[in-house]
Amino acid sequence: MSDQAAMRATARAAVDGLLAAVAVPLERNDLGRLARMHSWGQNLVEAASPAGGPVVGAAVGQVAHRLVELLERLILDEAAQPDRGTVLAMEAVRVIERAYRGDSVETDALLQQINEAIGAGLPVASPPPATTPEPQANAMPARGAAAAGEGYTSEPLVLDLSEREHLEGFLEEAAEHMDAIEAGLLDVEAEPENTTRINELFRPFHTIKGIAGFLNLRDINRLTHEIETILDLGRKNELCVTAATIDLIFAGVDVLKAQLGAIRQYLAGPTGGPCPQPEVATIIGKLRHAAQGDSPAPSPPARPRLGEVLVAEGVATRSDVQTALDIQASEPLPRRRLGEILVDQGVTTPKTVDRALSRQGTESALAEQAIRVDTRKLDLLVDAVGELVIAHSMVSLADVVREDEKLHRNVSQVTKIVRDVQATAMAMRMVPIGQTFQKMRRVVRDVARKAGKPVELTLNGEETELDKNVIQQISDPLVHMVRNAIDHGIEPAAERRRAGKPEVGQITLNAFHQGDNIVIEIRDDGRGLDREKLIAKGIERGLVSPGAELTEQQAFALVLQSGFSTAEKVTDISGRGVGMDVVHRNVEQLHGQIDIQSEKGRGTVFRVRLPLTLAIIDGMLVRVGSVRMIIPTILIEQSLRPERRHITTVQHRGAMLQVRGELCPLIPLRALFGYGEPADPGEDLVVIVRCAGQKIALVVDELIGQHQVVIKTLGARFKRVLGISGAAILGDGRVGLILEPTGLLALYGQQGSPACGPRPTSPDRKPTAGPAAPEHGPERASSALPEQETSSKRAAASPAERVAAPL
Amino acid sequence: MQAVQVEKSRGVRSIARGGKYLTFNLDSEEYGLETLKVREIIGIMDITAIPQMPHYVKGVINLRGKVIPIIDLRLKFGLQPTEYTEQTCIVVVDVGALVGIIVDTVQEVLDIDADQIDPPPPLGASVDTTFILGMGKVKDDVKILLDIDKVLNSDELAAALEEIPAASEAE
Repeated sequence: MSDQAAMRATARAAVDGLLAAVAVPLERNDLGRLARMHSWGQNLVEAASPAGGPVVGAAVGQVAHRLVELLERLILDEAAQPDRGTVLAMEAVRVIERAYRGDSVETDALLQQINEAIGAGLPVASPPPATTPEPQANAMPARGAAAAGEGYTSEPLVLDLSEREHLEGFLEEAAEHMDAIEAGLLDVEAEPENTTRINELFRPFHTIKGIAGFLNLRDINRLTHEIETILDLGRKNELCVTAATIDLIFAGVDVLKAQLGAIRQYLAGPTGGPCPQPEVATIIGKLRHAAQGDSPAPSPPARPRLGEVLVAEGVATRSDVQTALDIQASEPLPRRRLGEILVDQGVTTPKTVDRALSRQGTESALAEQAIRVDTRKLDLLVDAVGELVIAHSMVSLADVVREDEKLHRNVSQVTKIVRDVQATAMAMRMVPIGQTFQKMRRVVRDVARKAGKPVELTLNGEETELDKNVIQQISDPLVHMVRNAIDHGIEPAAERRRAGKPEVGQITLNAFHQGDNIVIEIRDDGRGLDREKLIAKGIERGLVSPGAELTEQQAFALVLQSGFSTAEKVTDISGRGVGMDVVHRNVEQLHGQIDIQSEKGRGTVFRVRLPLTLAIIDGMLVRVGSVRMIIPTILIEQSLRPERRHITTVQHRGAMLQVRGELCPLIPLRALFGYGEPADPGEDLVVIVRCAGQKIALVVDELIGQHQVVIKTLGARFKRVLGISGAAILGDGRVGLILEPTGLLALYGQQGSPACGPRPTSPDRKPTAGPAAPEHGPERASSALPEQETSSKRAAASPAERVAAPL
Repeated sequence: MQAVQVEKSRGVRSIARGGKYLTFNLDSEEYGLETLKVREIIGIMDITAIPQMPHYVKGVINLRGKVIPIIDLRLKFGLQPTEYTEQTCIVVVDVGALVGIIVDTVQEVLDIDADQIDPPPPLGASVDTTFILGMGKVKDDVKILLDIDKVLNSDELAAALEEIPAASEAE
């Protein structure tokens, strides 16, 4: 019994799999898909054989059998008419599906055509013995030839009034279910990916279907069956439940209600004739079409065929496999498996086949190979690995190691292993961005609908991987940017037409790796950013001083500032001036960066650049006073020793450094953080970093070098420290601080350039310099920046401080 | 050796319980800390200064992979700062989160019974009396028993440090 149940489940899975596989046109060189279809087909052949139950009808078995042969020829590229073969294979799947569902099907012509496509000269196994003329184990027995075609034809419904009680009970129960269904549908609409929700929705339909079948209410039975099919595909992620799908199901529910209403009315005053039935064929046709035609979710990676694996391993030659396949094809059902035949032929041993099978990665083996792990455990592991890396680098840098050659060799060996462990630990947290991208489809659909703009979304690079934690934190900002792109970027259709653009707006999401970073692009082909308008708005909002010369980049970057919104009217979706600044802050918290490119009338690209992981970052280690700080490499434009003539003072804006014709604010970090007297910028090093479209020049005391550092949050214990996004444990075990440019700019603005001195420390509380304490400069009203660079003397950057600087 | 448990007052002030206390020096006074609060004692090490912090927040250190804040207790209590020496220690305490406090020297762990503990003097102590659990009398010495939770969770510090729940007040 349970064997049969299992077989039934297998058959059902096979039909579903086949259907999903032909959802998009089949191609003859898509071997992976052909191979999967082949194995499903074989499952069906087995399910139809007497040994298997049989749990599916003979027609299913017959067509499946021929389909398997056809697929084999296609895979081996031996079919006489391969292109026709693919078309026939798809047709065969549809016929199988109909036959499986209980429709009676005409198979002779199809089987004949398949034979032709396979090639007349090749041996064709005799069709399996037809055991039963009608399919059995199916909820819906076929009723005449009416349903043979594509569409569904209702039959007059004659209600048996002796079953009146049952019918009334059914109507009552169905009414309750309808309520549950409508609520459930709304839930699914809110969370289309939540398969649990779909599953919950599945049940009431299933109950209605069952009772309707029992009561001979054919239309209702069939309609609920079609809806169930879609939900089933949805809960198995083989069909993407979109808003359109839900609309369709809602439409189906409406017809279902009408059907129920008609029966109720009929029961109230039976005429004696057939019960009038609202039309169902149209909606059934649509539902079927949706179940077949909608693009399925990405299918699992193709698994190589056993024969291919064996050939690749050099265990068997191609001709061995071919011979075995020929034998297999000529055997009566149930046939032996390919491996069994090869073993019997003496080509290989059972052990080798086992190994090949496991290499083939059968589904059951795959299931065992993946385990679910609490992400917190992964975080702990990654943390520990981070510590290991640091501790190890301390060891490997020790003098003893350098002196002792043997020890040096051993340590090098360990270094290699540590690096492997680190890479593996990191890889464990890497997940493709695809799921997040998929979410955007829904966002686009909703927003586009709300805004009344037709928009098409294209996704690229869905397989690009990045740290799960990063994905979690980038998801909301992405949603916001996509919304913005539709709401602000894409013009209304009429405006697009006037501009000579296609009416349908294009939004493209791209993800790709660039070095150790991931870049996510949100591209629209909308109206683009209007520089003049941005600047005007910036002046209006007090973000830009009138008359200021802004580069295009600086103007674009205004949209990232809080309290800035360019939309002429505030809409439901965006344009409240909150959002992009939050997005920007989130990205910076991830040590990332946003770049904006735009061409008026052509569109805008928001480019988000993020480190692949939150655990480790590539950074430039610099010394500021006695503290070492890390500037994420992702942000660094260049570092230089500025020439005095390139430093100018702008009234009320502090010192500016001219870099390639661009003026950037010169920020003396030491003074800003109160790590001592401001150093003379003319003498010190400057690191140019990008920050919200502009460049800022950070004055540091020393460039120590490029390092990978393990990031630790400061945020858990410290309130947001402006200009610092986190801490990192450096190679010598000490703590460095990670700089965050936007915060630095804000702090710089707050402190005001002239009052930019050490933090106030009253003389009695002035810490005495220990080995650890940063030496605070002498107490004095610190020089205003403009004076600073005119003074030729180096402001008290005491030698002691330089010496005290670790490393 | 467990001493009589003095019932905790529901008032603002917690009352010292008998038990083990870690004693240390700060300037000319001797202090005690409930050992239950103490995680470990480490020598003074390099501290990375964090900007925009009160002056007694010396910065952060790396405690085996955890970044923890360091408070100079002298500065916190408004005492004269002194040079850090070999004797200077960081006592890592758990007040909901780990915090390191810098003290002059660590002395010893003492058992102080409840009956050896007097309530804090109304005034005249060198330290804000709200930080004091009680005065422990051991032989001829008097140890100031600190309510370290309160010290580290005072408004001023809480403003700077986040998410350190007031453990002692949790009732």
